[in-house]
Amino acid sequence: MRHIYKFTPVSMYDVHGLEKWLEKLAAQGLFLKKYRPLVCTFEKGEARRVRYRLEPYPYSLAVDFPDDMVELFQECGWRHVGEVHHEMLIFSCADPHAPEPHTDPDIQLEQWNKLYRTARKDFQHIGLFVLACLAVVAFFLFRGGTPLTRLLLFEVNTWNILLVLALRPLIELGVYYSRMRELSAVIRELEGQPAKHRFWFPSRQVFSWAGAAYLAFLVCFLVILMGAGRTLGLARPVTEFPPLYVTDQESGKVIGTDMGGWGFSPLCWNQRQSWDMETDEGRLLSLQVYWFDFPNWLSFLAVPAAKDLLTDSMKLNSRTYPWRDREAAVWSAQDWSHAGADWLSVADSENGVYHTAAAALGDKVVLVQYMGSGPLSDYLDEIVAMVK
Amino acid sequence: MAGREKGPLTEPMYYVLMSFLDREMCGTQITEFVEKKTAGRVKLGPGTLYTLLAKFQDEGLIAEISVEGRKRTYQITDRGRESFREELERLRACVNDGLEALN
Repeated sequence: MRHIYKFTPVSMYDVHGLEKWLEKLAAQGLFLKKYRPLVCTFEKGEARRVRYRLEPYPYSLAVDFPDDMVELFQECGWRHVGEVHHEMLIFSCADPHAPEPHTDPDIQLEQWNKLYRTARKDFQHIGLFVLACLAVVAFFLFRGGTPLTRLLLFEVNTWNILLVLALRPLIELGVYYSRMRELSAVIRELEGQPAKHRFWFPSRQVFSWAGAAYLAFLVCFLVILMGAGRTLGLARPVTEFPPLYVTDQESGKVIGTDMGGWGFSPLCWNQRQSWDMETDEGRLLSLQVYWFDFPNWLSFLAVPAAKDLLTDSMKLNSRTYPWRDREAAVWSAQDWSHAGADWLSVADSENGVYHTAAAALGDKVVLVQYMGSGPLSDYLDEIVAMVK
Repeated sequence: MAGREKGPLTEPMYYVLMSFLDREMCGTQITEFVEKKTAGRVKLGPGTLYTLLAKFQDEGLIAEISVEGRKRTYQITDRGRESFREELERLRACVNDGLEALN
């Protein structure tokens, strides 16, 4: 049997629209084989008048499928041809003398009302869920820094979680609202308000398409960002880092230099130099450099990002050991912008252990976090060189 | 035994329950019985019948007694008979009231 695929032009809860669309196609010789929200499958056959009706019956598991209902409909001449979202069954009938599935409008109304109440409850729940998601997103974005800093330091996985948390539920909210509104229209129609006559089916499934587009966007986003960070070369190779070996001034064992991307972030590369840590005795030396290379069109973010990064760095709440402290340090910061960068500032903690500097020039930003005794302000040229 | 607690029966409910008084019935038999009894005035679609049967089962007015392939057979319970009797009394009172008022 030849199968034909057609985009579903009406929303799954536009009951009247869906029934009329299927009847119109049956009159053209296309009979529903499988219903899907975006694309339906049809079988080609002899054109004839066939009635299609949707019957509300929500069920969650396959074992709850109402076989007895399907059997009773079949005895009365109605064939089960599909389901809509585990909430409605689609029946078709080619016999013009078979009675309509519902001959008592009150009972029919009661069935649709049940489904409408479920839809309303689901909408309320998803609304609460969206509020909770927005609260979580706000928490992530504003916790311990400005949103810009959080986004710069976040790995792609975190960005993804934020997108899922912030965007997906909003689309879902639209889907649930649309479902509630359309079921309410079915009920109004059963209560006696006439349905709109349709010559065509313009009611595209905006939110279903938005959901599909969102998933496609998410996949592209991950592929591009991961590729950009690792192989596509949007971020410059780490070998371009000019040397900044502050720890050369320190005595102690030099373990080596560790360089790499920061998580999967396409904008940021991280370099850890010359670790020498004997934490039990209190000796702790490290130098970490975070290097950000913005696209040119985002270069206006470089200076604010550098300022945010420095402020964030002084909070000593990095996830990466050892740049963190239980007690907040007291800092003194000095502006060195005249040293050749758009903006450059160096901050030292009063206890002399922590030193941090941030610089921005053009579309590049660098953040240095140093634990040791040598002052970073002796290395301004090297820091500026890293953003040139 | 107390009958139905959810108000009077609608016309389709009344005739569906009536169909079980003599013997057990399956879906198509019920439809035929009602159509014949009411001379086609009351028609039962499968959606309406399914909802009524499910409702009557939930309320304990009828019980499923056998399943043979696609054929499911039901019979009335004592509670169902009681409900039908109560409805009949109600309708009789309605008719008497109406006749009294008319005369």
